[in-house]
Amino acid sequence: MSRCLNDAELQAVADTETTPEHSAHVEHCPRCAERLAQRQRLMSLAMSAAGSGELPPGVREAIRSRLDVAPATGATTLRPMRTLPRWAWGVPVAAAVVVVLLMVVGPGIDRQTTVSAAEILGRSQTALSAVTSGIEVLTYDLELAGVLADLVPEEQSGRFTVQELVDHDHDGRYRVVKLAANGEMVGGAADDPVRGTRARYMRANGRGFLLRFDGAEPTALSLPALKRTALQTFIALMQASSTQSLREVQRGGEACYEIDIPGSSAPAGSLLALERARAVVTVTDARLVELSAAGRVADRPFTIDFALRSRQLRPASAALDSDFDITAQPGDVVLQGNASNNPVWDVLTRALGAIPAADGTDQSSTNSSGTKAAARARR
Amino acid sequence: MATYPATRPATTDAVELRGLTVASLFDLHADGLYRLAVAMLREPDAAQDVVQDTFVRLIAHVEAGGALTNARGWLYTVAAHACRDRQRRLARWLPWIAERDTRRAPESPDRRDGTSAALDAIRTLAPRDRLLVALRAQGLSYREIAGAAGIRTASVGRLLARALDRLQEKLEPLA
Repeated sequence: MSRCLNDAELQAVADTETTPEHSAHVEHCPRCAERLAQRQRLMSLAMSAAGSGELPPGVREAIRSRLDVAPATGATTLRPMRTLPRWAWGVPVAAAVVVVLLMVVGPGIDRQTTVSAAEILGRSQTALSAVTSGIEVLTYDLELAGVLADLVPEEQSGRFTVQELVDHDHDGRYRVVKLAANGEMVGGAADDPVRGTRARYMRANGRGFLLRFDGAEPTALSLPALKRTALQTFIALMQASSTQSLREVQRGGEACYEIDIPGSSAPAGSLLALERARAVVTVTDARLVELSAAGRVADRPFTIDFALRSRQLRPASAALDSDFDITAQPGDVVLQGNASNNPVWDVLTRALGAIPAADGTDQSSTNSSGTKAAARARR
Repeated sequence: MATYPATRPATTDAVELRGLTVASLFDLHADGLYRLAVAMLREPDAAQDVVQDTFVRLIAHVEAGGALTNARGWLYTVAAHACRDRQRRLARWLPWIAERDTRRAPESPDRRDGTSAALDAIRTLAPRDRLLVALRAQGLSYREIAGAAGIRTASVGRLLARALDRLQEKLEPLA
């Protein structure tokens, strides 16, 4: 006797799509015959459930009669559309008046409305750049992987907690620091145009490097603005997807919408393409609290996970100068110099200036602009 | 003895097509398409729309001189795609919030037979499982199911078996 049939083979027997060998096996194998009988009972139930019911007679007759005479080209309706008596038009008009009154007079009333995923994403995108004032303090978890993580040193990749302070009353005044799981600062940037200072911090090869610059003007694109633009870009890509799904979830006791882009094939050759994404947005103020995305940058895969942990707003008067500065940690290398309008170039030239010349001469006391600077290592 | 419809070879339809009009195809398949759409979408109005859209597309297809070697397979493929499109559109909306829904249940909610419980269970299956079971319930062959569901013919038996296993799991607590 041949081996017993697996579920797929047994299904094929039940569906009369099998081979003669399998049919013959079932006839001679009591165990497979019993399994087949069970499967047939289940199928009978499923078939009677999904295989019964008829098109309502009125609809059938209407479509059928129109099919006999329907001009094919341009036909869009075959079954009868519900016709309403003339007075019935007054109902939607009255309803519209009631809706307008409710919206104007009673905005606090709990309205039962529908809302689309694209609409929520749009609100969230707008909320990211909403005008506000005072000091905004954000704490969030951030994890980059793939090509985005490849662009930064090993100490800078992985999952981090980020603390971000933004002074909305002064353009370009902010501080962003990345903290590892043990609380150690692994990266940061702080710009304070009020005092004219700029600081950049990073850990590489097990050592921290702090670069301080004086005479700094507000930069054209601050780090928080860059982050905001990146999140808005991801949200815009999600909005463009045709496979959004939407549900309501709870985050920290707060009602939120969860928008999911389960998966789509990104067109080859795109600079930035999204393959799957999930965003969680608060119901009350459309605040983005979670964003996970995977896709490709220049055809190389990446993933990003963002999760907002807390958000506070403080009055501008509560701001301290030290809020927008970065303090060196014991053992860090500290470099100082004068700022130009190009923060990236400042960091590069100042770092290069600190490298001893090939002939052994220490050039670290002079930066690219010829300004006196100091390089020291604290222990 | 199985009481479900046996699959028919696709060539049967190809033969039937000779001399058939759109109207006679409607007579043959409208109910099956409607049942498929009801199982997939739950809403009778939406299911009627799917049937209508399917035949509107058939008319356009025939008018454009399109091939129709397997009319039944073509109709179910178009209807399955229409159901999927409507499911996607519905998934983008939150039509109601459970906590705020104050509607009352019918007076006799317990008067349900095993068939309606099974239909409810089918509707809770994942979309592809639901589609496979609903297509099979209309008597489609594995080849036609593969065409409508966008999968390989060789995979239909395995996927259908798994879909039915999952249906069994959902029905067991009700038994």
